[in-house]
Amino acid sequence: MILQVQNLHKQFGGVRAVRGVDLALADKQIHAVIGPNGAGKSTLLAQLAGEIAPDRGRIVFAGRDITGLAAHKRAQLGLARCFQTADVIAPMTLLENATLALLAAAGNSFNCWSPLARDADLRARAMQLLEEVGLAHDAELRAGEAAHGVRRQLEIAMALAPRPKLLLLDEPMAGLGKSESAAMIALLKKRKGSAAMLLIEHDMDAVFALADTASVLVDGRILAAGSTAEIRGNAEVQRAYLGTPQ
Amino acid sequence: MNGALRAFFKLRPKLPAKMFGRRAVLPAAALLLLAPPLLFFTGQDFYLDLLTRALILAIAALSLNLLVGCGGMVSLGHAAYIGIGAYSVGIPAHYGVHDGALHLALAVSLSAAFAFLTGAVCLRTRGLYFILITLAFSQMLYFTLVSIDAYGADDGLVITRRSSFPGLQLEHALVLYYCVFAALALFLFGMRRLMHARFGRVLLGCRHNRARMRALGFDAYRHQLACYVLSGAVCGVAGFFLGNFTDFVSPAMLDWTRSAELLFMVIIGGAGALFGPLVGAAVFLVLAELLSGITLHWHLLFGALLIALVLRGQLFTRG
Ligand SMILES: Nc1ncnc2c1ncn2[C@@H]1O[C@H](COP(=O)(O)OP(=O)(O)OP(=O)(O)O)[C@@H](O)[C@H]1O
Ligand SMILES: [Mg+2]
Repeated sequence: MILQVQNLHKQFGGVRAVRGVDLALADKQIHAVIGPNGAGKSTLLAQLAGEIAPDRGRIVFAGRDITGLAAHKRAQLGLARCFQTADVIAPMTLLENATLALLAAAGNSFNCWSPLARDADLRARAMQLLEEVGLAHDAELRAGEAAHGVRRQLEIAMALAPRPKLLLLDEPMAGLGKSESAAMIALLKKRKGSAAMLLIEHDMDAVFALADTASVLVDGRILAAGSTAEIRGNAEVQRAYLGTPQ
Repeated sequence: MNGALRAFFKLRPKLPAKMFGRRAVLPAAALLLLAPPLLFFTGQDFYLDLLTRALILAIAALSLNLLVGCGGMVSLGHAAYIGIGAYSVGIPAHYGVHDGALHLALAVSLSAAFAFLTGAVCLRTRGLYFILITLAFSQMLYFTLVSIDAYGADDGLVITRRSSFPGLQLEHALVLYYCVFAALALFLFGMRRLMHARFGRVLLGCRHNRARMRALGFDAYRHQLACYVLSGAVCGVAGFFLGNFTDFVSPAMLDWTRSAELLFMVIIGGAGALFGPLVGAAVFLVLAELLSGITLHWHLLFGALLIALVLRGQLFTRG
């Protein structure tokens, strides 16, 4: 088990966003979390990444209790994440973004003297990173000016740069066109086996194409969990998805 | 490829940086290097003083630019470090200790220490709270100094002898000027290196997207705190020079309006632009000088002009 989550809770004022979530994710597996808008999926992910402190519960990652660990320390342990908003550093070019992603692992980030531009090795690796997701030709494009699909792919490339053990993905298909979605599915499929993934997704085609197992989150609770085939056939799940109240 | 490399590591060009950019650097440096002796030997002490003050304030504004432009941390308490630097000269001098190396060491280390202690708290907050807490800390220091009668309280201390260095006579206006000039040149060079080095790039990343940087594994807090301390230490040097220049220290030096003026200089010059603070300080002082000569109510006009300049600056930093 790469990730074990026990009885996770989070309340925002009166909103109980996550209430008693249990999850287990095996090595190199893709587990999808599906559920309607406002179900608490992003909140769950933010707690796993360390951006939101849970009110209650326990998170064990690679055999280590990380419940109280800071976000950047989790990242250093091999927990990578993508945001729902395709969060990259807008004023920097794609290549600069990729370089930064490599820098975290390369260390020496307090160096005030040596120009990063002279680091040919880092640059070559950043270029390779972009090549792997097919963005090398746009290396000099500023991320803020890139198309949404490009930013998505860049974000995935950045998250995968340090070779994480687990990648948290918050709706990677959102806002992508048909061909872009297909490219994204292909990209993630290619990486399947090198890292476990927790995939939040509304796009059921993507879920069934990628995930081994899935959980259904409704109103902050896991309604059902199992193999994707089981989830597909689950009547309760279909009802939740059609939006019938509770 | 070469072009890519260059584009890769260039900060976004801002208009003020462009207007006074690369091609203007050499002529400006030559002017700053050659004009002072002319001014001095033709008896134009007033202009030499103005120039000296501009360069000292440019050092202070540069340190704030490191914070605001590179680190995205807008402080309204930066004059505290000018005060610390100036009192590092004034208090030892008050006891008859005039050793320049000691003054400078005190200015740098006390500024760094104050920055570390206050920064550790300020950086737990963001945005408006950050601004207010930096302001609160500088006001604490201000009122502390106002309350110490031994050091002149409100009236401050007169510095009867400037910091002494072996072989350097800071009493001489030209010597002081060239020391300030050398310090500014050194800091500009250092800042340039920093902006292009890993630290500068990581800071810029944290400025624009802290959550992303943390998710990549960067300890944003520690990088920003390091930037905060470095910035404070550099500003302490500006304070050291200002104390020596005015031969006088008082709590008024770290009044919050001084901090606001530094912020104006940074914004006028374009936050994040290497030479911005120099341009900002020069524009600020020259405007103040010109307007105060025209009318008694110059503050009003000055305010309006500042607003116009800030709006301009904002337009261009948004790019
Ligand atoms: N920081 C916050 N403060 C207050 N309420 C919040 C906060 N974050 C989320 N919520 C609330 O918690 C609930 C769950 O939100 P969350 O973003 O986790 O849902 P989601 O499943 O990711 O939805 P979507 O599919 O729309 O992304 C929502 O009702 C939301 O309004
Ligand atoms: Mg969400």
